[in-house]
Parts: sequence; structure tokens; C-alpha cells
Amino acid sequence: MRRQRRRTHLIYIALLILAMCGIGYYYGSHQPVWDEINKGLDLVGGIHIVLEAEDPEVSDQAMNSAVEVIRRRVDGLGVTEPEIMREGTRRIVVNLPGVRDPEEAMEIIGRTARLEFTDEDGQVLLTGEHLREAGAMFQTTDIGTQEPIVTLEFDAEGTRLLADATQKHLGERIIIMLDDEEVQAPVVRSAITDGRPIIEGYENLQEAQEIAVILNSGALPVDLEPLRPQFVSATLGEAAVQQSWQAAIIGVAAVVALMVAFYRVPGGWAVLALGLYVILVLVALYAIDATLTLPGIAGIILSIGMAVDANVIIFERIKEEVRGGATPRAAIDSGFRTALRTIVDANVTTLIAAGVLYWLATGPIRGFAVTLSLGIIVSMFTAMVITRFALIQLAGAGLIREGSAFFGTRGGRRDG
Amino acid sequence: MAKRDGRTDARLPLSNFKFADRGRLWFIISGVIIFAGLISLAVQGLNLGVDFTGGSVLELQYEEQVTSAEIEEVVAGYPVMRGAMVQRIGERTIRIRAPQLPEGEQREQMYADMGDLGDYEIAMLDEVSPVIGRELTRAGLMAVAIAIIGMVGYITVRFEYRFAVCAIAALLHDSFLTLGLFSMLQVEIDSAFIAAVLTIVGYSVNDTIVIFDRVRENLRYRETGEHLNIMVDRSIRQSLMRSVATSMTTFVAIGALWLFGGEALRNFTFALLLGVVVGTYSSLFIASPLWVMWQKARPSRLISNV
Repeated sequence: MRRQRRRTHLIYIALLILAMCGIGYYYGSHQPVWDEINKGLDLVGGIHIVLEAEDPEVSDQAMNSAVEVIRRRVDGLGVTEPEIMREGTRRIVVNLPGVRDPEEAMEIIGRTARLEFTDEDGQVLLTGEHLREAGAMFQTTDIGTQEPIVTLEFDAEGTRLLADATQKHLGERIIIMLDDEEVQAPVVRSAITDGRPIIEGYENLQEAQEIAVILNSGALPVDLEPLRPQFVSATLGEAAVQQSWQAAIIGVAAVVALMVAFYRVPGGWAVLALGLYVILVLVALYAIDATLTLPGIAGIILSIGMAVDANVIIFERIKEEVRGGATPRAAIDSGFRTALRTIVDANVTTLIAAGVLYWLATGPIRGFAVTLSLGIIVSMFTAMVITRFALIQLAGAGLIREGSAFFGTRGGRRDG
Repeated sequence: MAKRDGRTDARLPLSNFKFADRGRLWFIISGVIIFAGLISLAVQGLNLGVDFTGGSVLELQYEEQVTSAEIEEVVAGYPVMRGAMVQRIGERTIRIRAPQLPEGEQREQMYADMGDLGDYEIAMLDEVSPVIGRELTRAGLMAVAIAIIGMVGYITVRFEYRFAVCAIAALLHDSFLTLGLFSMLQVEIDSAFIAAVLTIVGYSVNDTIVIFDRVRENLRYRETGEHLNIMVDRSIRQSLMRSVATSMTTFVAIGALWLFGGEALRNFTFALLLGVVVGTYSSLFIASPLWVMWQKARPSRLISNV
């Protein structure tokens, strides 16, 4: 009977080890979660720029157009996963991973867009500064169907220039150039004297809208000032990743050695839980689509050291219960019970710190806040669920005995 | 349930070490270090990085070795870079910190001049405008203030009044000690330092909470006639193994990063290392003795009821 029960416990232990190895193998080498995680520019290399509109009362629309302009320009750079987004009312953040030449990238992003209307010989007829607005809409055709068009509206000077140009180049093409790149080349059907030309011939409204956005942005009078160009070369990023993982491995090895020295068999279990812990943190990072940064890796390593804490608190409690004469199984139960409150308490303050950091910090430091809080939460989970399960099974299987070198203490002996 | 009797003391570590009794000694030691730190803060201040002051950092990785003197010579040719500091990191990397880098063609020229010394790659470039510097400083100060308010709030809700005050004293002790030490050592401080300080404070409070938790528990099981300082010493000893084990594992994990993690994280991890030591120290030698001294001077209801 007793033997049979011990066998059941041994099977559970085997299953647990198997499951941990399985998870480790799956995310470690079969489908490495590391490859799937978003990595910050400080790890992969690239450029990060914060741009601010010089006009403090810049309109929302102008800013959105500016984002569009930058996106178009960045496309020309051939960056694989560019990120261009607005931040607040007057700022645009640009992240370009993998860019090699920071100066070239900054030059391309920073210069003001130039919209020009030229004739077929490349002679400039009028420029974007006269364009008030471009829009897209449907127009009813002569045969009663709806067709998408782009509408333009010029200022007084633009109207005069356009009237001259359309009279002179009737039947020819007018080429619309944005930053020396041809956007479109519509044919002039009639002289336009009211400064409100339309362009026809789009497949759908969306295409017309895209052109309108481009024309608007080309005409954009927003001056953007780079506030903080930051560049890290891919070589430096790679070196940082390599060095920090090397440090992580050494750190984990040292933590493992300490734990086994302090707590023997259960220490070994805590270590297995720790291995799983690192993978779980990475999986959690991937699951919430967070970005891993260099300080973020530091956060993981820091939390490896701290993750042990929950286990230590539990082991110390159990040790005490054993000293007081409890059987291993009873000691484990009451140890976990009394330790739970302490563990939660102790982690709340670090979570407060991480929460405030996440809220107020930007960029890489925010990555630190994310991994630190994930680390703390995952460590509580591994300690309370996995370590607990393992200890109960170990005790049940008789691998932890009274009077053995249990937890590194000569347990059960009562002396004065 | 285990018996919580005094007899188990013999097997606890440092059974003769008096934590609580020598409170004055620890206070004097800390007081001296903090005072020195405050003087240093007043005289030489903190070595603030470009994150706070604004300015530019440029790192060039050369293919062949170059000397910082050669680089300094190039830098001297550009008036806007006046006051630049040139530093060699490792064999072939040069770090230039300047209030400003030349713009436009001047910059092209500077890059070309650097190229005359040998082939290089720009390893890092960070140009912080003063606007951003001011913002980061403000956000940093605010983060520290809010985090401390949050923790003080938590401690106050979680503990009795006197425990809370002592834990907060330890927290302030740690913040000032770390700041003072950084001023004395003149280690460059960047925005990651703020993260380190917050982590340190969180860690320290955490450590104090665990010990006070024990003190409170032992208050309930106190034997009649047991002196308060003996009881507190016993509580410290009971949680000492945990404090030491956790501090050591955290210390070695961060220590590995400090030693092998490369240049970018060195100051950050240094602050964390310092914080682990200071935080552990303050829980054992500041928070607990302070509480004992207070109780001895004016026993609270908590004590007299037992």
C-alpha cells in the first residue's frame, strides 16, 4: 500500500520533469521563443528619432500628414520593419531597425518635403506651397456612374500660375513630383482658371485618397526638429546581446550553486523551477507583445536573483517547522501557508516601483519595468505552484526524510 | 505547528550578535557616510549624463587602434565641440561626449577627419536636446517621488504606525546613501539610474517588511520577561538566513551582469549592486534597532498589552 503510494508520487515527479524538459525543449530549441520576441533598437541596432513640430499649435491633420511623408521616405530606405508613430500632439517617433548609416537616415527623414508641378520638360510650373488642400471624393460621370476623383484647391497665386500653365500646356501632361519622385502625371484637358482642378481615373476611392494624402503632405508647412536622434550599430547591439546572455548564464550558474549549497535537494528543485522560470518570462514577453531591451535583459537577470526569494522564504519556514518537530509533509503544508502572505507582501513594493517606471519611463527603461514585473509575477507562480507540487511529491515518495540532511539542516533533532 | 520557543535560538546563525542593542553604533556609521555624501553632493554634485544635461555622445569603433590624443586633436578643430571629453573604451572604441556636434557639412567634414585616422564604424550616436534632458529629469524626479509615496502608503496600510515610520526611515536612508555614494564616486548617472534607485528602494522595503513581519509575529508569542531587544534579535536571526540567501543570489546574478554584461549596463548594474548591499544593511541595522529604541523610550500599547 505504502509502496504503491510512493510509486504514484515518483510517477508524478517523472511527469513533472518530463513536462519541464518538454517546455524547455519546445521554446528553447524547437521553436525558440527568443527569435519571436520583439527586440529593441539597442539590441538589433538601428536609429530612433524623436521629431517635434516647431509650431506649438500645429494641427492634428498636419501631423498625420507628416507621419505619411516620413513613411513614404522611409520606404525608400528599404528598412524591413519601420515604426513611425505620433506621440502627444506635436511629436513623431521614428524607429528604423537595421539602418547602417545614421547620418543618411537622419538626412532623409529630416528634410522638408518638396511638392512640385512641372511640365513634360521638367520645368517647374508651380510648387506645393500654393496648394491649399487636396481631397478625394466621388463624382457623377456623364453616363450617371460614380467615379473617384482627387480634388485640389490652390491659393490666389497658385490659381494664377495654374491658369497660365494649363493654357500653355493644354493636352500635355503635368507631372506632380514629390521629393523628385513622380507621384502622377495627369493630362490637361482644359484650362483651369478657378484654381480648383480635379484628377480622374482612379480604380477606387482608396487610391484617390492615398494620392490626396501624399499631395497634402507634400504641401505640408510643418517644420520638424529632431529632438533626440539615437543610433546603435547592429554590431554593438549584437555584442550587447551576447555579453548579457553570457552574464545571464554565469549568473544563473552562481545562483544555482548557492541554492544547492544552502538548501540541498529542495534547492535543486528551486533551480529546475528557475530554468522553467526564464523560459516562462520570455514566453510571457512574447505573449503580451512587449519589446525586449538591454535594460530589459538586466531586469530578467535581476529577477532571477529575486525569484529565488519566494523559494527561500518557503524553505526557511519549512525548515523551522521541521525543527519544531513536524513531519516533512506537515511542514511543507504549513510552510507554504505561512509563507504566502510574506511573499505577496514582499513583492508588492517592487511591483510598485516597476509600475511607476512603466508609467513614467520611455524606451529601454520601460523594457526594464516590463521584465521586472513579469519576472516577479512568474516567480511567485513557479514558487507557489511548481515548487510546491514538486516538494509534496518528493516528500510523498520518501525522498525527503525526517532526520536526513533535509534543507541543509539536521531536521527533527531537538536539542537545547 | 512548530513551537516558537527561545530554545531554537542556539542553532540560528550569529546567535551572539547584538543587532538591536548596538543601534547607536549603526546609526553613527550610517550617519557619517550619509553626511559625507551630502557634503559631496553640495560640493561636487552628481556626474549627470547627457540624458539629463542634454548634449551628444558619439562612439566610434575603429578597425585599428587609435589614441584618444589623436581624436582630441580632431575635436579641437571644431569650436562647437568645445568642452568635449574623449575616452577610449577597450582597444578600438572611442567615446566622445560633447555639448554639441557640428551640423551639416561641418559634420561631414568631422567624420572625414576621423576617417583620416583609420577606418571606423559609428557604433553609437545619441544627441539629446536640452528640451529632452529637462523632460527626463522631471520625469525621473517624479517617478522617484511617486514610487516613494506609493510605498509609504503601502507600508502605512500594511503595518502599524511605528513599523511604518521605521521602514520609511530605512527607505530614506537607502536613497540618500546611494545618492551620496554616487556623488562621491562621481559615477556617471543616466536615466537608467532612476530605474536602479526605484528598484533599490523596492528591494529594501521588501527586506524590511519580511523582518517586521517576524517581529510582529514574535510579539504575539513573546515569553514573559523576554527583553524587547532580545526578541527583535531573535526575529532578525530567524529571517537572517532568508535575507542573506536572497541578497546573495540577487547579488551574484547582478554581479555577473556587472562583470560580464558589457559597458552599456555597467553603471546601472553598479547602482543595483550597491543597492542590494545598502538595502539589506538598512533592514537589519537601521529599521529594526530604530523600532526597538523607540519602543524602549515610549512603549506603545502593542507592547504593554503582551
